[in-house]
Amino acid sequence: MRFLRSFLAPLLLAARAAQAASSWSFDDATVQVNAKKSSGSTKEKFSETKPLAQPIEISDKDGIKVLLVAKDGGKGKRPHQAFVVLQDEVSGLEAPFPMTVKENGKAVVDIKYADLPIQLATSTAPLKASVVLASFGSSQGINKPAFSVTLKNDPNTAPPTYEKPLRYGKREAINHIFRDDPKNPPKVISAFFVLAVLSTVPALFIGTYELYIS
Amino acid sequence: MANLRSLLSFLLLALVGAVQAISANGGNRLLVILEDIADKDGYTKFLGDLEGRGFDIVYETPKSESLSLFHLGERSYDHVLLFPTKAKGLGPNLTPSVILQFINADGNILLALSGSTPVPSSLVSALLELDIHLPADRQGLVVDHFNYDTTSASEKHDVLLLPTPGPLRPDYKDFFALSGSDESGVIAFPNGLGQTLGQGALLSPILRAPSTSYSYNPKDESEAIEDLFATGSQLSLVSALQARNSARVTVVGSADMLSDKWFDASVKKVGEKSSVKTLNREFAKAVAGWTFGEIGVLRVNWIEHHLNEAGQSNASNPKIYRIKNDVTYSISLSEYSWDKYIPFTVPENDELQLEFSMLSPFHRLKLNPIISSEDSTTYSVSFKLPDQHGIFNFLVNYKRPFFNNVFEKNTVSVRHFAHDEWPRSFVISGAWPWIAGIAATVTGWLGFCALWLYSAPPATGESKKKQ
Repeated sequence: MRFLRSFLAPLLLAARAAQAASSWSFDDATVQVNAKKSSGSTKEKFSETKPLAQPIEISDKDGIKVLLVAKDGGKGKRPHQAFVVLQDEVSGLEAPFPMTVKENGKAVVDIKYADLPIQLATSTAPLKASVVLASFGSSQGINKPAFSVTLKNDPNTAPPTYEKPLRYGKREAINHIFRDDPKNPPKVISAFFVLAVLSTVPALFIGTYELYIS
Repeated sequence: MANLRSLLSFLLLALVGAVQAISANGGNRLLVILEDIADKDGYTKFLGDLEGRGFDIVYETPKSESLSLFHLGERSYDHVLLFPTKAKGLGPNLTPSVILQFINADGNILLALSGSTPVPSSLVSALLELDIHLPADRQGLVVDHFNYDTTSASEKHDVLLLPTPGPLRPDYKDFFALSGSDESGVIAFPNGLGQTLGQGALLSPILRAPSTSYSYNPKDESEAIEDLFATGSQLSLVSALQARNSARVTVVGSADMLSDKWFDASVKKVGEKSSVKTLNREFAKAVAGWTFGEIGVLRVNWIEHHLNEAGQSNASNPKIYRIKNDVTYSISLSEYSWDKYIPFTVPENDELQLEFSMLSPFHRLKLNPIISSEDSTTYSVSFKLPDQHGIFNFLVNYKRPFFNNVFEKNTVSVRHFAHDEWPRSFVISGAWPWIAGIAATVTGWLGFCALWLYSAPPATGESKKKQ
């Protein structure tokens, strides 16, 4: 069986290579930060094989713009599915942003910070962005990592908060904290006062006796 | 004699409980609603499996005059299975309010939708009430260009091939793992309609779409999608709702996946050479079995609590305890599994918890399994009652997705120490000076009296002098 598999693997690879002739790809891909403030927009290029090494940083008033040309077998064409998907690596949650694609394959999408779902906007880890291009028919789709985005919150504004919805599950254990038991003072002290109190009895009798004698 | 009688009545009660439980869960009157009764020939294996498990199936069409979910205010059927119908509405017998009323009356509903026929508006609004959302225009088709079947949908990519779903969370029991099937199988989801679920805790997806899939409107002629309904794992292909009364509603996005054609069909995933069998038959059995209360039904057999103190009476279920008493609480649970009750085992990473509460819980403790019999497990915990008197509840509130709700509340009074239950004063060393004070006063007074009585009158002359 193992032998068969090892024999099949190169065959499969060969088949993949043959299919690769008609598969989706993209070209001239750029991502730029549209900053509201004067800092200007930075424009960076990425490609299928070379995702951006450095994460791009956006603050809560900015947005990013992704431009690319979708190609089917090397020719510009419009795919049915052209998404930029942002994924929170910690929770695995994803948000898709469909691209507006022209007939010749030119695709663009504007992602504003405000468009991010709250679960992603509150993420602390960088968001991983990938490009998904695919369509009907036999052409193979692609799903490639492109760049990552770090979110920078303005320290002057309150950060967005997200309250997790109720889910049934086990709850935290509670153990009642009992009040302390009543405590006694050291027995020596009690004994001392007992003696002090008891010593009044002979004192009383002696005092009375003295009084009568005199 | 009294003991024997209580034992007898206990047995009788247990018997009655068991009979009720079976009829509550295993009600077998199933109504199947189809566009045309002849359509049932497409689902012979699925319906045959249901019949083989003891369901009593009645077939109706939405247009039928005799169709009624209620008779004289009582449910006429225990379960309803709805296949896709073409009509825009479902007529006066299946309005959204009738459907919700059926759910409120503990009826279970399995709803099969399809990507090729628009969903009747009455079902859309009923689902909206349950916070299950369908695409606009009542129609949508789930496609995935990365996980489709190349033999049947090489062009349209609308036959999704999915691995068997794992548990939603590590502490949930996995009812849909399809035990006994070989690992290589996949679930085929042909021509289906995806749903999105609201935030509620009662909803849970059974089967989610893969991350690259999306839903679009097949009527939309444009080449690219403009407004996206949902994509990826937000899209629930088979979703479940368990209402607060434990009635179950399951929405299966693709009626075709229940059809004979896709039971044990042979499919080939894109990019793979060998074809594999579909597990749709096993999956359909699990989904229908869960919906119609054949699995995931818990039963509380009995609850018992008693004093756990040496030398004290250990009568069962007293009405009153004292603060700081040591108490043992036990609960016996069974789980229904297809045709019999089995001992209920709490899933790994999960806990069965007992709360001892007055308004808010004072204790929340884990119940540990102590005895396991053929059809039940007894969970028990011993603890000290809090030092607060009042009316308390022993509360077991076990709500988990895919298990019916267990909510058991037993009320007891907790009283203060009685006057003769405190330690005696001489045991308390801090009280010794006070006890000594009493003794000193008593002795002093007695001595004074003795002296007074003893005082002999002095010699007369002297006394006269004194006077």
